[in-house]
Amino acid sequence: MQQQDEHQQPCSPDSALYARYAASIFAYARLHTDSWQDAEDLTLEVFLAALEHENLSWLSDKQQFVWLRRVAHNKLVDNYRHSTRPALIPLEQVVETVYRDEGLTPEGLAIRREELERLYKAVEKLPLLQQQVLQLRYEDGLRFADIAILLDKREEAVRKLYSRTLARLRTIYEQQEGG
Amino acid sequence: MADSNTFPSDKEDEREQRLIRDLRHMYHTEVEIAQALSRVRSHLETSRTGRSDIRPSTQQRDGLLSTLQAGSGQADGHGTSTRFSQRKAWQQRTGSIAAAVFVTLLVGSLIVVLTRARHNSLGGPSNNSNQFGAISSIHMLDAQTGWATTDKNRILRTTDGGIHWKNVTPNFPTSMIRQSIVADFFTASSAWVAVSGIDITGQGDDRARKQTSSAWVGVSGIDMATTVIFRTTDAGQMWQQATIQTSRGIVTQVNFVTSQDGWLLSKHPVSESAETLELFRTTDGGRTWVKIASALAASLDIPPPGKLPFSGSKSGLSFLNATTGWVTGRIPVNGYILLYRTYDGGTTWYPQSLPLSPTERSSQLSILPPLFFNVTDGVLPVSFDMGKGANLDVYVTHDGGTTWKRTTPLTAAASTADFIDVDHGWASDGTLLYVTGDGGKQWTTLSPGGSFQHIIHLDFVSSDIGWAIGAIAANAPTLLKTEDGGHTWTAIPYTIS
Repeated sequence: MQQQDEHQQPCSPDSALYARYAASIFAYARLHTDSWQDAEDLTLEVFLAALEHENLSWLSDKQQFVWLRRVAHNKLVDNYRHSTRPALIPLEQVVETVYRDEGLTPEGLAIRREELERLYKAVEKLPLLQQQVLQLRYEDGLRFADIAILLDKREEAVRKLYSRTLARLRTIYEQQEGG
Repeated sequence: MADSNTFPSDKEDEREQRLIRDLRHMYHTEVEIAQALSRVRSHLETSRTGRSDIRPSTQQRDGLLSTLQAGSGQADGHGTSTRFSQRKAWQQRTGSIAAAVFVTLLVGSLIVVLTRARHNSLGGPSNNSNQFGAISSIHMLDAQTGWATTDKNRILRTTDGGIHWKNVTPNFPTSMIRQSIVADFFTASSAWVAVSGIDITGQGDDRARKQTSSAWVGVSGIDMATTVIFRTTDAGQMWQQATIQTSRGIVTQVNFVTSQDGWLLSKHPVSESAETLELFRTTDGGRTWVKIASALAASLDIPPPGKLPFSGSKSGLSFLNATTGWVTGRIPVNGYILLYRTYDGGTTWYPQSLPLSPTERSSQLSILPPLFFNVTDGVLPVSFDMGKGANLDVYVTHDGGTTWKRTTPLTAAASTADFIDVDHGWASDGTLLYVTGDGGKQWTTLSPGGSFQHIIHLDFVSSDIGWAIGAIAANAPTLLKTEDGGHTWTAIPYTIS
């Protein structure tokens, strides 16, 4: 928080709205667009729409978020091509990161590579909704409550889905140890 | 699966942690997202500036939301064709605006960005160079000129001592997802990393390393069967490329001793104690490559005469000249060394022995490729652990590697080291810096402190001037510089363009 204090500017309503929800809307945009550029454009359009909305500041926090999400959805329908699957960082880039972070030996690297390859395949085979939950959780770091709004689900349902997804993926490591 | 009323076992907990850690690796970083949000924010700011010209001045004070409350609203987001038509204009402005206002855009957005910004002041990239990554390996030729690679596999070049870097990365084939990238930059001095499979190192005959403009870069494909070698002779302005088909492996080293004579090492770990290896040779500066040696999966016994072993993990290779070279590594058996020498350019290889101390004979030894400074003088780093912690013993030769002489072991888990000549060298365990001025007979321990932490790479060009890279797992690597032989280090807030 100290770092934030050093750079903090006076907080206007629009900047507060942006600071609070831009990441979530951008996450939602990335779920449904083909490129980051499109996702940025969509996010921009959503907040421009917010700027021109007369009564948004009267809404509660959750209502503001729901409103932003609805605008994003409508703009997606109007103007953007939909994405099919969330994009993962290329496997090789991840392998390099793991190699660097974990200080692996070449042998350890080979083992970890196989493990990661299996994890990639497993994630890619997950139903779309589960992939979306993972992306929103791990890429965007969103709370389950926010994920639920973005996916138009109940929070409890998202939590259960997430739990089931992790349990399914965890078996990869069990297989590795068993094999 | 454990039910909710029982605690997970340690094993389950460890699996869970590993899964979560791996999942985090698989998705884009907070920094990338924060940058994107900063760009969007900049467009919003730009939009506010443009619109304020037609808004009553009294409304400008109240922030954009309240300013525009007087405007016509589009509550549902439909019917925004006018603004949508502006999209392309914003896109066109993205490049110039984003670069100019990036720092100010960080204000009030996400803590992670601010953390990164603070980190930058500690020696990371200081501008919007996250697209290029942070410098993770540096190879300076002199106090001003040098090359570097980044953690996003970019190739950089500097001519002002590392403050400003130019991205000179060749165009990697789009079909090729980068497996690993290694490079040889014809450096005036070389660096090596003690534990490294994907090794980025510049090694070879110092006499040949006078050209500041030549470089070779090797890239392996995800299929582990294709390696592309890029080369430049004009400081990265133009790159030519050649393709090599390997049996199954990752390029781990490119080593040139002249502008024409080079070798490429490709290997694939099969187990903890064995890996396949293929060695390629060029005599025309990298235009064409021929496989001259290999160690394919076989028994773990001693290889036939003239062949490289399948057993052991290979740390790399180093050539003294067009004919004489070494392959080094580690065999997990006490007292056994993996040190093979060739006298015919790499076609046949024979083991070479070292005058090990009794302590070393009862330890597992890891050898790194030798580093030569002229036709006769070189050093060979040998690390070993005798149960009381890691040690580094630098063997020295004054007859071109025919014989090697032990020096005084340095009791430290040195993870990186560098020599500028046979006498002057530095090593670090990540926190402390060890310095020798007499070829390893005596080592002096320095505690630079400050930014000198988690050091993974050292690169000296003189007894005074050197660079270091510190890497904390969660942050981008930091670039440090010393001008007093390593006593004090200053972070370089460098830029990449």
